[in-house]
Amino acid sequence: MIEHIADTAPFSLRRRLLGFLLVPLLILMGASVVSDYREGLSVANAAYDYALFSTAQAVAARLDPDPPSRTGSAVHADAIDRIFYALIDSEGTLLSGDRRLAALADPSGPGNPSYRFETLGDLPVRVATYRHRVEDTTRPVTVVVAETIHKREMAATRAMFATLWIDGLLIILSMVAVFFGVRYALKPLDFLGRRIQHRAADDLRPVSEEGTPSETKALVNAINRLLNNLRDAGLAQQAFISSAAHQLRTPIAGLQTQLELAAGSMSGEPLVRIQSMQESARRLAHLTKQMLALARSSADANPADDMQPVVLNELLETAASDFIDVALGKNIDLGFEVKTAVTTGFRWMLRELLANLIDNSLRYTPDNGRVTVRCGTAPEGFAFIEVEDNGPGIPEDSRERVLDRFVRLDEQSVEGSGLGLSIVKEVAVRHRASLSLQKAAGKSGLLVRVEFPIPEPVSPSSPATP
Amino acid sequence: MRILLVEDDAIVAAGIVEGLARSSMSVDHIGMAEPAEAALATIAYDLAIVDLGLPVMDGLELIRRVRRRRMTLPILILTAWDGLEDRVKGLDIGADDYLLKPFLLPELQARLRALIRRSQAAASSELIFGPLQLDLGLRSARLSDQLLDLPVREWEVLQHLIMAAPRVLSKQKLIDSLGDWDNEVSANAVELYVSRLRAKLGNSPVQIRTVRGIGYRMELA
Repeated sequence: MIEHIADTAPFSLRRRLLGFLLVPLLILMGASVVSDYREGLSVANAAYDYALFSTAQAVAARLDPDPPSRTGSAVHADAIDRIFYALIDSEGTLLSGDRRLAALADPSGPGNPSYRFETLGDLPVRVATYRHRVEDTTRPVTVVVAETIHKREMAATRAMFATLWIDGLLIILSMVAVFFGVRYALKPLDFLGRRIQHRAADDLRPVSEEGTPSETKALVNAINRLLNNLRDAGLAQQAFISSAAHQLRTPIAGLQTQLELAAGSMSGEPLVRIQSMQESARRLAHLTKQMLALARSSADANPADDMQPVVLNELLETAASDFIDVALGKNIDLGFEVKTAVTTGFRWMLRELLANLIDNSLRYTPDNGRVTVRCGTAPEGFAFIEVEDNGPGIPEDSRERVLDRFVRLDEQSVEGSGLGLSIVKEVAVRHRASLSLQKAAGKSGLLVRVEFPIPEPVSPSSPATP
Repeated sequence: MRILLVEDDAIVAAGIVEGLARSSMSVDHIGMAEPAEAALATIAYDLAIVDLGLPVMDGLELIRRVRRRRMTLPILILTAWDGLEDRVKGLDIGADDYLLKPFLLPELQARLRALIRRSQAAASSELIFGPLQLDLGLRSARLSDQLLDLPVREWEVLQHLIMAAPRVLSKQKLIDSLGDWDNEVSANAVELYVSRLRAKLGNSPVQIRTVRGIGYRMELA
């Protein structure tokens, strides 16, 4: 489905171009039609005028002492037009012919003969005035010959149709060429627009200049500067959050350690109080850690080009060391099913993803439960990570919500920051992996599965346009 | 066991000093890198804990200088900064381990003991894990001073597990470390060695835990 930007925009380059091209074109074409017609007409007229001149000459020749043979000086007459003639002497006296015509003589007209359109009675005629000097005399006579103009009118009509037909076709073809030319010539603009529109909302990589017309380079540069600023702003924000979270950690460490020591030498009611404080400090520490992870996993801080191959089984091995004690603390059977799996991504983020999934399961699974962590490669070729527990699970209608930040299903019972699954989702998005929350295999429990995209075969010629 | 702690936050430092004292580790505390460098040059510490975010000269620079002076004592970085680059850089420069703040004292203690164990093994060819003593030269092992009857492979498994502690050692890594050019060690063989070791360790405080699907961990009760 292609958007015809030209159709919908109120101010359109295409329309402007069409306007600026077609209007002058039409005017020029119009002028050309008129000029062609008049030219055609003028040629026809010149021909007929010449014939008229021959007639005038023939009439004049009769006055000569030796009139040429009759056939040579025949007065041109045909079935279409009527011919009139008049002979006038130098004083204006009619010597012979049509008296009315004599009045229309124009002895002072340009050229010899001179031609004019006149009306004879109620007939439109073409009048030729020819001043002739009779041979062997000094008497100038003026021969006036007139012809009706039917032939000329017919010629005019023919000229009109011929011109119109050809020139009209020319105009139409030109318009069509201009129309399609404009439409297709501007396609790179449409393409650029679509390219920018189809980017993900958080894709702040610069727009490639490849394939953009030089006229839009200034625009693309401006867009890229804007994207750059956005990226910098995003990075600045993350740097701040990161810095703040890091700064928080040392005082929290101090608090935790002191509480640990205090708890070691207390009992009874003061101990319970200390333990509550410890619980609080733990939540504080956990929240800070999660905030940091979430802030740092954004797209701006992690350009896709920096992705590396990550061996998932290694991550599971590290996680085993990290979480075995937590599991033992609740007597949870923490087990692993490790098969070779490799994906492209950010190692630290995938580590966070795995850690949060396991942490979540360990938190919400009651004592003596079971948590199994799996990784492998599916027959279709994609790598996956799975964490399954036999805790209470998540009801189907809450599964979407639970991925939002700070959403926790049961505030009171279990400690958690509410950010864990949000981090998992964020990392999954960054890696273009799919995340699904399902029911576990047994009586109850949650199974979280992350499926990574099938690796694309890398060819040296694949283009890198965003 | 003398440990130097280089940390500028007074409360954290006090907590660590007191916490480690309870496990019979004596800790000296210095708040800045320069005097710490001088102290390390003068006194033979067994281990140093270095915070990265120190004022003036930072922890990384301190570690660099210590290593340049060819001081080989194990160094644990204790820090709030957990970026991958920070971690890698720290270990590249010559630190031996990396622990994040906030931390639990038992975790700190376990990591310190592991570092000390490894450095002692290098220095005195002796590996100690609670009541378990391994002689790296003789390839012998004593449990509470009683000599254990261990064939070579079993001794090697024991050694690797102790060196890895408190981390879980994967079966695969164990297989890779045990095999040599001539004989491949199979997963089944490893399982057999571990079960025999368990039998020999009996009810002692030293135990080998199985982590389902990954491998084993040496634990001290």
